[in-house]
Amino acid sequence: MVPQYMEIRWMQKEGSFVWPGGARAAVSLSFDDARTSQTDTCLKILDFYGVKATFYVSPDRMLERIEQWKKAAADGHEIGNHTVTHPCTGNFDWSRRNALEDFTLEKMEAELVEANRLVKEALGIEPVTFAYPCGQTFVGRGEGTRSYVPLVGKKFLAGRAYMTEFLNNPEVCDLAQLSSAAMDGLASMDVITQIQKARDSGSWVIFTGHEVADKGFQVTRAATVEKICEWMRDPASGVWSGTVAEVAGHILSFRPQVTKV
Amino acid sequence: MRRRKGNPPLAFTLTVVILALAVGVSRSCRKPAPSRAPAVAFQAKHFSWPAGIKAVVSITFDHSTTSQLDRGVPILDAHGIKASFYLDIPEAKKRIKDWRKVHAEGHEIGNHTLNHPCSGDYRFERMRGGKYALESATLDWIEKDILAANEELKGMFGEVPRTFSYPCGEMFAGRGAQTVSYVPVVASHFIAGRGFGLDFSNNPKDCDLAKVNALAADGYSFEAFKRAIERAVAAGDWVIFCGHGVGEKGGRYPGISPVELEKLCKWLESQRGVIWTGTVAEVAEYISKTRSKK
Repeated sequence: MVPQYMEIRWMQKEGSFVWPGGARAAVSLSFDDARTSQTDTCLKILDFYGVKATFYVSPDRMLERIEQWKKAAADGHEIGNHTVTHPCTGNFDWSRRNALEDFTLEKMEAELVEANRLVKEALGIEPVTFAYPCGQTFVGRGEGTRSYVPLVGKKFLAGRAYMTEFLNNPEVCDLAQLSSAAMDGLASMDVITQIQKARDSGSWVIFTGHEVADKGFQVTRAATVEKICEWMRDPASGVWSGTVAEVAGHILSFRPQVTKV
Repeated sequence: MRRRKGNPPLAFTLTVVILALAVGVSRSCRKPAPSRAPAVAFQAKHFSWPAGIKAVVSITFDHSTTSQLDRGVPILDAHGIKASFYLDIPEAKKRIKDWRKVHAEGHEIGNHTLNHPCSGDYRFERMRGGKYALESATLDWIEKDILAANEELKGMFGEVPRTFSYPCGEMFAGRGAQTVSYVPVVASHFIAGRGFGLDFSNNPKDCDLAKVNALAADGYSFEAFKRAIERAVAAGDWVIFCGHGVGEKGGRYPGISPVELEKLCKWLESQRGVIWTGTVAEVAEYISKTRSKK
């Protein structure tokens, strides 16, 4: 038998953590790749309901709607880092020539630095949170596989993964490797059910979408975004809706005793 | 981390520290002469499936629930389909005779660790006090847990598992700047490591056998299975499905419906010359042997 392991590092006294304003859960909406439907459709819905979201932009696509993105940033939406070239596993056809399996930590670090520089140059603000392309956190293959979470942990307030099953627990979660659920294709009730589950456990649920339109592959339904925003706006929902940076910052304020590593 | 003390002369830059730690840790993990060839770590120039085969399917189950034995195995057997079962060892011991029969019939028994460590964000992980949470684990601890499971399974089935499935599909230990990948540990002991829950099938020519993906197939209809397989046919890929139960009610994983599983197996049986359905070990072994650098 193997020895039992130690307590997990951030676990706090039960009940010591609270969400702002008596909320029972936190919700962040995030959208990846700076698809044009995000500025053309999504931001209009969010702004109508006063919901602030986090956009993990691909710098080149961002340039296609640069004025709208400048306004979004000025309005309080968060613009995050999503690398420059969006490297994923070579199992995806489109990523075979830019595969994580062929990456090194140095090359990944250069991606993170360059993406921050490009966003800052275009929008005047530097991203403080990161979204792992395809939710993958490694470089290399086999015995040479390395996690690049440490690069993200050192450089950013938070890193968001994708298609993971758990809800982020504010007392224990690793801000460098947060879970997010896919929002593409879901009906509003599916999303609200997940938010209610988060509320039952006092968790933080992050949703990730891509295009925002009626339907299709990697499309979050505009009607779903609209209904969630409306639902969250009602104080009876009991949720705090904030950007990834806002929620991560709040969580970090409850972890003052240890310097962020 | 303990290992840092061994490497201070190399600590010129952060990157060097990370690399030094990673190399040091993975070296220390390697046990002398593993009995199996480790996962092949290169991209092949050429690869082909056996003659006529356009795509490959593996059906896998985690956690050894009784519904897998009572409802899943009879369906698989009726159509001559072999699956891979990644066992929860204490659970499997309750039905050891039945699991031995499953193994003897040619289904694969794989390693799913002894203590099933996952992120501390999971409620079940916190309910047991966080003492197995990956955020506080080390590579040494994980390797011990995996090898302890191998020992147990060897005692139960007379042979050491050849493939591994990552609990919760998670492949890390530690947190923040101290996070490390445990894929190297898996690569050094198994011919394949199966992840969970992402949305791709595996390209046999370049996929890393130490971290192949399985689609989360609980709740899949036959049509959903077929769509995923058709995508794999178009790409010449290996698609792996992972379910937890078969026709259970409620619970975390309601599992795959027996009706849908029956339709899937019947269809796969009819596609035998075009779609190869094999265990993870059979397919990984074929890929390792067939990949060529030329």
